[in-house]
Amino acid sequence: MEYVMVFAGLFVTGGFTMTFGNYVPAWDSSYYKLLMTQNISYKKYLLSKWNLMAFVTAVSMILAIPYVYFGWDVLAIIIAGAFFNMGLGTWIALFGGLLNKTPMKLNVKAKAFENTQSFSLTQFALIIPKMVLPVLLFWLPSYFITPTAGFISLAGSGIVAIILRDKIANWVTVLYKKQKHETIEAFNK
Amino acid sequence: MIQLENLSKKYEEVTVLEVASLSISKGEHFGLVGNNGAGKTTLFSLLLDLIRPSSGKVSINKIEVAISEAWKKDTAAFIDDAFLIDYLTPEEYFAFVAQLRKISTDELQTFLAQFEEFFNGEILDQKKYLRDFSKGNQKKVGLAAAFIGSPEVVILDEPFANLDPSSQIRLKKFLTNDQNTDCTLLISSHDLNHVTDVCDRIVLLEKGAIIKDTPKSPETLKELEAYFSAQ
Repeated sequence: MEYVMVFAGLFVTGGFTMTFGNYVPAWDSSYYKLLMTQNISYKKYLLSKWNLMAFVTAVSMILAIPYVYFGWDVLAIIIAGAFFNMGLGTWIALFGGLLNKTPMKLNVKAKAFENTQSFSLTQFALIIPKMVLPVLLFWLPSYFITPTAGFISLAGSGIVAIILRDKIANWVTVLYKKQKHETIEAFNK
Repeated sequence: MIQLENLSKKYEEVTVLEVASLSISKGEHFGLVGNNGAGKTTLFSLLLDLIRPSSGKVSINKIEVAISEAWKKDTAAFIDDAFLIDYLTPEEYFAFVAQLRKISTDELQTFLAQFEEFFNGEILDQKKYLRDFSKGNQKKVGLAAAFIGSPEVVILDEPFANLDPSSQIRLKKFLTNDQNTDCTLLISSHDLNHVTDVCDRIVLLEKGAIIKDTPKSPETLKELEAYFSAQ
């Protein structure tokens, strides 16, 4: 099994999470004060974003089943990657979004690539957990034990994170709350 | 209902607001007046935990706003454009707020019916997005939405600004009607006539400090006019 396959497998189901999650809460920047004062808790707000990403990841996983044509191990890596994306990739993306304080101008006809300014070095640094972590989760067990252990390790990390969703949500909510005033101020510009 | 203790806000070393103590009781209609830069919006933003105070604390219903989120279910506000969702139609926006306030579609329709005169046929069924409405009509949408689900506390910054005279009078009628007597209403305004008509307590801010805090009396308007003409 080529380790580069793990990358490919992650991209098959993780594309939406990466493009959407990195811009939470910037998507809501023009009405962020409304969301911060209306009757919705911060945790519920974040979980609604999580649900959307998890749903799209699950749909992508189902749509990716025909990849079995290239072999069962290809399908296995896609499914293991999907679980990782759903359980951990979503939260890593939301954490990246928290660091991104550039408001998104949804009502302005933007030129292609105009929003590139919301791409920062911190965003770039997050590629490490997003890409390197799953490869390690797969590679270490498959190198030292068996390839099957690699699949189980990668998928298992995601499944454990899905089970602990509520706990992780509490923790990410604390991080978001700490940044709340700075985020409002940045979006106010 | 609302308690402020030793509240202050400093930017760099400049104090923009300093309130040693202020208490607003349930059902009070609280009017905040003061010239530009007096700290009115800062005060309201602190009440809603939109900015971090340099010192002190705010509680709504005995819930400290900076610590718990439980105050959000009793409180609604319309401060500026950032309370409107530009890419929704007014109907979609009202439906969204009603959902957050856990109000049924039928209840929402009944609620909106009372604004027929205020909306003047220019808000509903326009098939337009909020961003395409005039400033005044956007304001009407935001003001009406703040009252969805009868929150106990409603905070409005400059509700009369940008409205045409007829709408100002209709808004005044709505704010002082019977169903809002239990509502703790906080408004700021540059229009001394309107604010004294609607509110039963007037607080005057100058350079971030409360310099006058009186229950409304027949003389209030004259006193305020005297103060502002001397400025």
